[in-house]
Amino acid sequence: MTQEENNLILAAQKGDRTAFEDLIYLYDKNVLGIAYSFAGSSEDAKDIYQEVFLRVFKSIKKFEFRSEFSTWLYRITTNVCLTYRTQKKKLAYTSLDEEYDAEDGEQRSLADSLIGSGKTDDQAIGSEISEQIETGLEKLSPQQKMVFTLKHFKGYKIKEISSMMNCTEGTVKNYLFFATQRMREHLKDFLD
Amino acid sequence: MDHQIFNEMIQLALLDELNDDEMKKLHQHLIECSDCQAEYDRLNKYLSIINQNKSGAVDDELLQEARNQFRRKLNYDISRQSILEKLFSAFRKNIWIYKRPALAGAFSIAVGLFAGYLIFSPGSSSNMNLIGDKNGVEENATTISNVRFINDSSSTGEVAFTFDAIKQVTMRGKLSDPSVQRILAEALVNEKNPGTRIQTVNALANISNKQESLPTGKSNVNPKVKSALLTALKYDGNPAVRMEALKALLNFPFDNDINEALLFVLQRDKNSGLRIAAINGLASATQNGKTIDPETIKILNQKIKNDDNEYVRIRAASLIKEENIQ
Repeated sequence: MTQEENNLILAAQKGDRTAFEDLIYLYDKNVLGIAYSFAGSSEDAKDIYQEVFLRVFKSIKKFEFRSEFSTWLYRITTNVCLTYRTQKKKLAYTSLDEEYDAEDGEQRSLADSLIGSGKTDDQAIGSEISEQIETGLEKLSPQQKMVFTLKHFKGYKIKEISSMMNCTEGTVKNYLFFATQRMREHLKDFLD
Repeated sequence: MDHQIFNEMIQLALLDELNDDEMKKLHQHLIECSDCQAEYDRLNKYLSIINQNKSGAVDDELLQEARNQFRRKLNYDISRQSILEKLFSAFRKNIWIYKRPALAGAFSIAVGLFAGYLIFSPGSSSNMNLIGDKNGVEENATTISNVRFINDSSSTGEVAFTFDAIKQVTMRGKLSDPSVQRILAEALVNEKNPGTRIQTVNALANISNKQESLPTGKSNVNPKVKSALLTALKYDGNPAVRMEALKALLNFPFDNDINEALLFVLQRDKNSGLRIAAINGLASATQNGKTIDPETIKILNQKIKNDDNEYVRIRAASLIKEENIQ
């Protein structure tokens, strides 16, 4: 922890709002990045960001310098992510064969309209893989998803993740191995 | 060591989580075991697919939106705590007093009188730090928050506590008053209601219309006004607010900050009306003698190729053409 960061924490603990904002701006892009990777939508990411920093604001006076501020902050971030329930209502699946009235009065199916959507094969495959990864992640437990996100999308070391999630490295590895196994099964069409 | 352990080591190796000794041991095993070598290749392919489809890159626009949303929520939460909640909480903390009816009565009267004095007394602001000229200020109801008891042992019949008093203030003043300008600038960035932000940006536009250059060459407008307009132009969620901010900024002497903000809008704003206003702003600046820098030319060239709006494409091409002729 730098001296500047130390001073900002002390000032924030005394109620200095500017110091508090300067302090959180040192880390908030990372927090938002974790939230966005985990939740998968900018609206949910902003909600998580807000909840994290409201909790930090309410409890900064209790921060006793027993750990790095960043460790404490990321621990709050992972806690909020793990307990967050998305506000976004999932869209109901629609059959590709379901017909609708086109503008020219003809009956067409959604599959017909997708054929003419103009995407190249590579773009279509790329977005399909991304969608598969997203749906695969939804099937993991929140802890497995968090470990997967922090490791693969944010590049943290297992040791750092264990500190952020307040668990042992062995537990993190178990979450990671299980997540890998499930994701490989989910993506097997693209791996063969 | 069995294959299960080596399979886990393969994953850790590909994630750069093994030490040198473990790596050596794994490499030795991979040379000897074709099954594990095949697993290594499969896992490598899986990880490269995951890496190619990483999600979570956060741009500055999203970050600014998150910061603004948080700031508004924090302001709202802080001001929401009412006097009744705080006093109720104070009563609960001191519930033991009720076991002694006489002291409870004294305590209740003391707190009630004190709160009443703060709310209704016209002279209660005498030691409060008000912003601006006191003649133009009207004070309304006070909100008491953060009540903290210094001495809750009421055996003597006395009580001592501290509190924060937030008073709603109506302010009348000239737009040229730096205090008025500062408050409006704060409101433009932090106010939650888009209608209020539009009213605020219109008031700030009036300030920018009437600005005068000082002998030093600087404007007489509070720098926070320009800064708030730049923030609103780039990050406000409401296009009408962004448009009014852009118009107001064009009344300021054209400088790098405004140039950068117009380029930001030209590149990133999804609203074509704003992109048109931004490119017109750049064109107007060049007509007034501003030379187009290489970064601007690069962005204009991108716009010629890929902007959805035909006017923006044509205007970008004509700007580059005019620059080349000069």
